[in-house]
Amino acid sequence: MRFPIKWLKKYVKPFPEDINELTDKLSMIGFMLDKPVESVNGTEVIDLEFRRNRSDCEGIIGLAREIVAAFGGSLQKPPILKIKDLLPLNNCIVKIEAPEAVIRFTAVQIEVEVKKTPVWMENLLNAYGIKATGNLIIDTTNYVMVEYGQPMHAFDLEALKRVEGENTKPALIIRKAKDGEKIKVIGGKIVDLLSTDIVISGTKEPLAIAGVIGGAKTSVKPTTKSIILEAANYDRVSVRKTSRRLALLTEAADRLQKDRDPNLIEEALGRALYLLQKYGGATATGYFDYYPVKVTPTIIQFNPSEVYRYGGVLIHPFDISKILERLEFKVQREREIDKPWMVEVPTFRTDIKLPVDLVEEVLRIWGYENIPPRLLDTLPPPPIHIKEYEIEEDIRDILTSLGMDEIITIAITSIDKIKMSYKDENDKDLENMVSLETPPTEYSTHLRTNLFATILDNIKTKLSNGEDRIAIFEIGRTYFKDNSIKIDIPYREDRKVVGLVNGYRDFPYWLNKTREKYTWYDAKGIAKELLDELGITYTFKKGNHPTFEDETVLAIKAGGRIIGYVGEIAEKVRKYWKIDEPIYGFEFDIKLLSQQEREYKNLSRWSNFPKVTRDISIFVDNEIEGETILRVINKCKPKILYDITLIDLYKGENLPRGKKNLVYRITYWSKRKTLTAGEIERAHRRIGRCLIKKLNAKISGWKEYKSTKQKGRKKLKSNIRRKRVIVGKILKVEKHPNAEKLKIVTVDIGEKYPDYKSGKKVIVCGAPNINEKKIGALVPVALPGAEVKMAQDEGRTKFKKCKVTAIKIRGVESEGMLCSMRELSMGLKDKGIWILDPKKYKVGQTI
Amino acid sequence: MSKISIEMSTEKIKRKIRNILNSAIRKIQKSTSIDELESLRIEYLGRKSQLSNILKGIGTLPQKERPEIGKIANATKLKISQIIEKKRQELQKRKTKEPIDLTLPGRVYYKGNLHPITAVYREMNKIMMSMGFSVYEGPHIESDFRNFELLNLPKEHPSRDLWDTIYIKSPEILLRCHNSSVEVHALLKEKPPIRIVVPGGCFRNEKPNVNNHFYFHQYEALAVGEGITMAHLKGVTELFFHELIGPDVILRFRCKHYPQVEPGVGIDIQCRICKGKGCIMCKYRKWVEIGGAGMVHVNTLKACGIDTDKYTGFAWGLGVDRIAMQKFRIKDIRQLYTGELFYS
Repeated sequence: MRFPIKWLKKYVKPFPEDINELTDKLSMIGFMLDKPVESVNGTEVIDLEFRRNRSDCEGIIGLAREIVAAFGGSLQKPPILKIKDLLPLNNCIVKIEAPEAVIRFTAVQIEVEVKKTPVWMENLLNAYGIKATGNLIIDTTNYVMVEYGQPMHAFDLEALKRVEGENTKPALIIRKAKDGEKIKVIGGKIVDLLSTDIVISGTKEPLAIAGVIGGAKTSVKPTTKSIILEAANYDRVSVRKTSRRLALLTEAADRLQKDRDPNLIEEALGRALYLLQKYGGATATGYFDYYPVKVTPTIIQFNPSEVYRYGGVLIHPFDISKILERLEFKVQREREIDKPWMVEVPTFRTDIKLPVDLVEEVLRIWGYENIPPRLLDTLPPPPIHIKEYEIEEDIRDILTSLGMDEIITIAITSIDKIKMSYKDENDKDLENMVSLETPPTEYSTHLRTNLFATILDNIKTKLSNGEDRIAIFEIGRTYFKDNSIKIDIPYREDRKVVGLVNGYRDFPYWLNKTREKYTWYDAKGIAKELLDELGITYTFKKGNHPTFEDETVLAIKAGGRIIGYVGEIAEKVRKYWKIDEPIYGFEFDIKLLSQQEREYKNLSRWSNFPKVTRDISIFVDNEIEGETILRVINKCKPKILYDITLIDLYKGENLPRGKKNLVYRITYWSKRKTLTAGEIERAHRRIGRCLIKKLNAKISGWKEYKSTKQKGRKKLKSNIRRKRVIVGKILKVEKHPNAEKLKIVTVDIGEKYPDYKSGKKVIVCGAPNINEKKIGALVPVALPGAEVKMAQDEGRTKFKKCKVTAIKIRGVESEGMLCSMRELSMGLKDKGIWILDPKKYKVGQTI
Repeated sequence: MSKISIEMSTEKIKRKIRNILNSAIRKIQKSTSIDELESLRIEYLGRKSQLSNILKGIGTLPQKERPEIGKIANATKLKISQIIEKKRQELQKRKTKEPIDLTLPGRVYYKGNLHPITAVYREMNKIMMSMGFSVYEGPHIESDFRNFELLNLPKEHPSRDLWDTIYIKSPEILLRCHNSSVEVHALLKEKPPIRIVVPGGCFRNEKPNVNNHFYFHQYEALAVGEGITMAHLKGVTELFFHELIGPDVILRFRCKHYPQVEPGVGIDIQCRICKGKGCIMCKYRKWVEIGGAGMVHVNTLKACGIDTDKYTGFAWGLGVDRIAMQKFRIKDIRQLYTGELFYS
């Protein structure tokens, strides 16, 4: 509300000089300066934030009182005339036909000369913001309304007579309007009334909307001399509803919506009469007052010690009572310190009802800035743990450290999106979906029953903005109707965490040209790591989920219940959001997660002894699942087994039909000693036997296992195709015609392999230990197709696995290769061809 | 074995040694390969080098000159060998390491980000928990009774207009419009002393635009106990903002009416841009509203079964979206809830 300084000055003596000091203090005591100080026609105007509960300050005098309370000085009330002593009104009938809607209705009949408004009143009105009309009556009613905060309205008595008709007394009936009634209000607008509106009407038609605006027909004209001036308080809820419905937000309606003091009406009318008399020679000839339930001052029993109890600052009782008295409270103090005071509350303070309200009065005038701040100095209560909240915070930390970004989406969305986030549009969840009675927008009408309905929007936006890596999670609530809930609200809120990935899983990097894409196994991996970090024990099993595609769902079980799922978003769902590439993810229920036991990780003591890894390559039927294989391995678990990792999976050509090839890296480790080759070999064999027996697996590189072990036989590592490295006998050694260091060796590999055109093979060899002396020796012959390690450099330090082929070396065709131990990965010896012990090897044997 | 003429004076020998040293240093510094260094070593320090010969021929010198010459010659030998070693290490280093372009980018490692609202809540919780406050939570779907009535806001109260409520089933079931309803749960369930903070979202019937949304986040605090006064409200709040925003932040607590508290205050921060002189950012008011606070209304405490003769309490609440937007330089509140936050 706007307060011209000049107007305020009339009532406060002395008036604070510094306007900044004034506005600062007013802000502190509850009337904040809303805009910088204005200047209107040479007079300063301050615009203060309006106080909803201070109807008394919706008038200049009310604020003047506040200034006196804060700065001292005295309140100079303006002169008024007494109206109570007037004779009753007899030129007009006043009837109250809606007593429930009227708190007080007071009317005075006044005869006034046609006079112009005095200039000082015009100036003040204009400074306030109501345009002065020049008509004394109208301007006076406005002036008094701003001065006291009490709206009033003048009816032109002649107009009333005309409206009523020739031989009847004019009447003012306060009643409820009838549906369909119309009235043309001041300003020309014609409005439709409802039976919930209160009107002041004649016997025939409504003449004014009570508390809001007057009718055009009976309003004051420049020639008006005879008026009924009325001021009233109505049911403020009704006034508010009417004013808003009709969009007639008048200054009168604004004031009469508040809890006003009916006793002010008398004073206000008396003031109006005074001004009309002084400036218009007015006389009052009749008076009517309907005031059935008089408002009398309340008395509050007030203990001044409450000021310290709430405020934390010691104020002397003398100062306390001084503040209250300046605000026009009547204070009856007791001599004894602990006896409460009796404080009479003036009726215009409709906001003061309790002792604590008085405490606020004292503290705010004293100044909150004068309360010395203190920290809480009592013992804090024991902490309250909300398990769901605590685990949510842990989940946030874990998922962000795994490279996922947190998002928050809004739980309110459209019914279509919620429906389409399910594979089945008639999913049971949807029966209990919560709808909003007052939706904020046309697309925000229901509360989500799962997080996917809102997260997919987020993903779509990101994709439309060109992002090619999506890794996000949200922790949020889902809402359902639920009649099984015992409290007064039959609704249920479930808390979930959903994580989704899509697109590339890593970032472009100049040293690594290929970017991998996210797969279903990423979702599983992240979910697993989340559970491991939370310390929860769980198992996986096949499951179903309303949003994840069939056959892609793993359910996670812990504590006997399903606590979450991993899966791929159903294509149908994803297509509705127009997302082309697959989205993988997981969902967990927070409450169920928080109910699980969480354990710290086992950190066992590190062993000084080294770990040894051995790979095992197995061929199994395609239908056998990864978990089955692991279960078999674990069941026959050798004691020294430490870890099993799948390092390769091959399902392509070159395999027998219906089979796949998996390579596991098995780590053996003992905490007590270094393992011997024999121990490792035995454990490894055991695993292989279990796989062969239980899964009909074929182990790469193993023949049918013979129960008698042949000691000392060295075995080739599995990667090399053994059938193609055969023991051969050197028959002839000749010099190579075109190379000094090379020799042409003829070997006999036996008759066993007809497809190799077996028999004698001619091989070019550059090893230093092959010479005529070696005729008759047994050597390993690698035939075309075998994979052996071949030296890549002159110095024979770098070896790479290569396939042996028949090739011309310096013009001589070599049909294979003689190998050193190193080339066959049997040892490190490389200084020459591996000469085999004839006691252990025979011609034609595979190595 | 070369012969040193007896006529060579000790001075000449000293000069000769010096020359050997200088030429050795020159040649060593210029050498570019380890093999070269090796031949230099042989040249200057080997069996057939000049220094060696000088040392061998020391016997031919007069008795009193011998210690001095010997000392200088040996010292020179040592110095040359040190320089050779140093150079050898230098060449060795250069040989095994290829120079790398240090300005090329390193591999991208990515840690995900918390949502800005979560990040702000964490900061706030840290401060409040150090003062003994615990996080408390409650439902979004609430009854009119706990959202309004128990907070001293009976039906038809004009203040209810301030909160445009989203109703699920009017007039009783609604979406909470402030976190104070959760405080009511705490007052009903817990016994004093109570110290809780309530982070969380609430709903209002507003059309979304740059600064407002129908879902937004608040942070409320409640402390109920014996002897709690507005002095504590001020102290806790000032500490909170000093820790959250900065030690130079200036607050004021001005009388403001909220039905849930009495006495009630509005918390303002002095505009940090104009430092209280008035500028367009603070609409020339010099202060920016940041929250509301006050002593919990006696009606509320009584209705929740708390003895108001024994206990008092304070409560405050602030909007978190605006703080998050300021800290993270987000211009539009809607970005917080759609897919448009890009981390750079």
